Amino acid sequence: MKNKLKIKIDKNISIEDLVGQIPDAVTYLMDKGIRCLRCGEPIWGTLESAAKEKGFTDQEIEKFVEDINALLDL
Amino acid sequence: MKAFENQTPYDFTIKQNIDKQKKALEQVRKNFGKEYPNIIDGKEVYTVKKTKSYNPAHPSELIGTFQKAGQKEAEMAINAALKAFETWKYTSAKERADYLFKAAKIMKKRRFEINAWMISEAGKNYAEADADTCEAIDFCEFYAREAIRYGQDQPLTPYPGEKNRYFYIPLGVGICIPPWNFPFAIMVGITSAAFVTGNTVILKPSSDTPMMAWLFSEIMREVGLPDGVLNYFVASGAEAGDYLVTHPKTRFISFTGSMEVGLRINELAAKKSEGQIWIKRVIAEMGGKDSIIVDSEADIDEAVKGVVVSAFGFQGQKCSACSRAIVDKKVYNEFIKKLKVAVEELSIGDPAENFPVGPVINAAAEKTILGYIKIGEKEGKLLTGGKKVENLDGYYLEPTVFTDVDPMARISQEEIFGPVLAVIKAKDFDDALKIANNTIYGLTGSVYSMNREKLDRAAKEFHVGNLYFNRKCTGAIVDVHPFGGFNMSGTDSKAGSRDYLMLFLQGKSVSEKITRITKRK
Repeated sequence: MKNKLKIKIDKNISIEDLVGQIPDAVTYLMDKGIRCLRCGEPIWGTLESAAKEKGFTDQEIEKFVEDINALLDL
Repeated sequence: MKAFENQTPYDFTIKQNIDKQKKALEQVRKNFGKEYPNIIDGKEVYTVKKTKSYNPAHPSELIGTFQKAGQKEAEMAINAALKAFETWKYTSAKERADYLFKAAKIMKKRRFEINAWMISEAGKNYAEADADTCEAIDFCEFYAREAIRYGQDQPLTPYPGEKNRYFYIPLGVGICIPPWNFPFAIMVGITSAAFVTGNTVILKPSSDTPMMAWLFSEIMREVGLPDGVLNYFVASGAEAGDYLVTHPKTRFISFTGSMEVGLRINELAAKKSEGQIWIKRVIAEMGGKDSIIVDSEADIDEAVKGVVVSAFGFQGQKCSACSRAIVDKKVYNEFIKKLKVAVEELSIGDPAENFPVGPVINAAAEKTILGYIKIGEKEGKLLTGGKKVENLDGYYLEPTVFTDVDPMARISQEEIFGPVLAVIKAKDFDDALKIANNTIYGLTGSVYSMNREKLDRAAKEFHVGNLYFNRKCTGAIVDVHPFGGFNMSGTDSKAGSRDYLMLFLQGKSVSEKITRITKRK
C-alpha cells in the first residue's frame, strides 16, 4: 500500500507527489475547482502553479496547504 | 518480405488459453517486488528517489521499484541520445527495421508473460491485455515495413539536364511520453515509430506502468539495438518532463495523454530555448469525450451491447471510450431499460481472475471519478452504480450510468476517464448530431442506425477522427482503423496509418546538374 507521508507538504510539492502521497487531496482540490488528474495521470507542475492557474491568491494557497496537511492527521 | 498481417487475439473462452494465462500470472508473481534501473546509453543508472508500481487490484502488492530521475539524469539521457544519433541516423532503414522484426518475434513468444505483467500492473482483464500486446506487435511489424518504404528514394518528375533525388531523413533526439492505459501498445507504438525512422529516443513511461516499458527496453537490448538509441528513463513528469521538453537539443516530443499535459508540452516546446536551432515538433494524442448516437431506426439490442463494451471496457479508462450515449427520444425508454439490465450483469473483480470489470488505476483516479459521480448525482438521474465496491481490496468502482443528462452538463463535457456513462435524450437525428459535436474534443464516435442516408450524413457531419457505424467506438486496429482525433483530441496524427512515420522525418531534396566529374589527383 502507498503509505501516507507523515511529513508536512508545502506549496512547492509536485501534483504527482501530492496525489501519490495524499490521495484525499484530490477530492479536496476538486471541490475547489482544481483537478489534479487528467486521463488518470497527474497534471505537471506544483500545487502552487495549479492553484495560480485557477486564479487563487497566495493567501488561499497557504490555506490549501494547511488544510491538506490536516488531512494527514485524519 | 511477407505482407503485413494483424495479430489474432487469443480466444479466452478456450480453457487452454485461460490455463496458459493463469500459469504466466503465477510465473510473473514470483518476480514481483524487484528493483529496475534506468538504462541510459546502455548503462544501468540508479537514482536516490524511487518510483513504486503497485497492483491496482491489490494495492499492497508491489510490482516493482523503479527510479525517479531528475534533471541531472535527464541531461545524461539527452547527451546519450545525441551521441547515438550521429551513427544511428546513417544506419540503413532495412537494418533499423530488422531490430523491430526481431523484437516482434520475441513479443510473440512472450505474449502470455507480457499480458500477465499488464494484468498485474494496469488491471486489465485477459482479453484487454492481450489486445494491447497484439497491437504492440502490430506496431513493430507495421512500422518496420513502413520504415523500409520511407527509406527508399521518393518519386519525382524527371527534369532535363539534372539528376534529382528526394528522400527522408530523421529529425534528431525525441522524447516519448506514453500513457498508462495502453501501457504496452501505445508505448511501443510511439517509441518504435520514433527510432525506426533513425531518431534516438528518451522514453519516459508513466509512473503507473513502468514495468511494461521495462519489458520493451529489455527486448530491444536483447535484439542488440545500439546503446543510446532507446534510453529507458523513469522520471518525475513535473521535474524531468519539463526539463526534457524545453531542452535546446530536443528535436521533437511524441506524447499521448491528457489535453492539459499535451497543451503544456506544446506551449513549452514552442518557446525557443537558448542554443536551440530548430522549431520543435510536437505529436500529441490527447483526450476524448466520445459519443454513441442511438437513432430511432437502430437495432436497440446491438446498440446496448456496443455502448456497454465501449463505456465499461477497461473500466472506461480509454480516450476512445463512450462516455455519452445520445439516444433518440422515440427509443429512449426502451434503450435505458435494456441498458440497466446489461450494465448490472457486468461482474466486478480481480483481473487476474479475468472478471470483465476490474479496478481503476490508482487511489487518486478513484477519488477523481467518485468526485464526478457526486457531480453526476446533481446533473442527472442515477440509473445504476454510483459507489465504490467496498468488499474488494483494490480501486473498484461500480459501472455507473446517469440518464436525462443535459448536453452541456459537466459530466457530458469533461473527460472523466472512468466507468461513468451519461445518457442524453435527443429530439431527433439532427439534434443527436448537434449534441455529438458539442464538445471541445473529436476523437471517436459511433452511430447505430439501419438508415443508410443517416449514416452517410453522419460520415460527413460527425466530426471525429475515428467514426464507426453499428459497432463499438473502441478497439482500433493497426492499419485497419488509423487512430487519432480532431480538435483538442490532438495534433491530427493517425497512429497505425501509412502517414504516421512522416511525423518523425523530414524530406531532403538533392539536385545535381548532369556533367562530367573527374576525380582530382
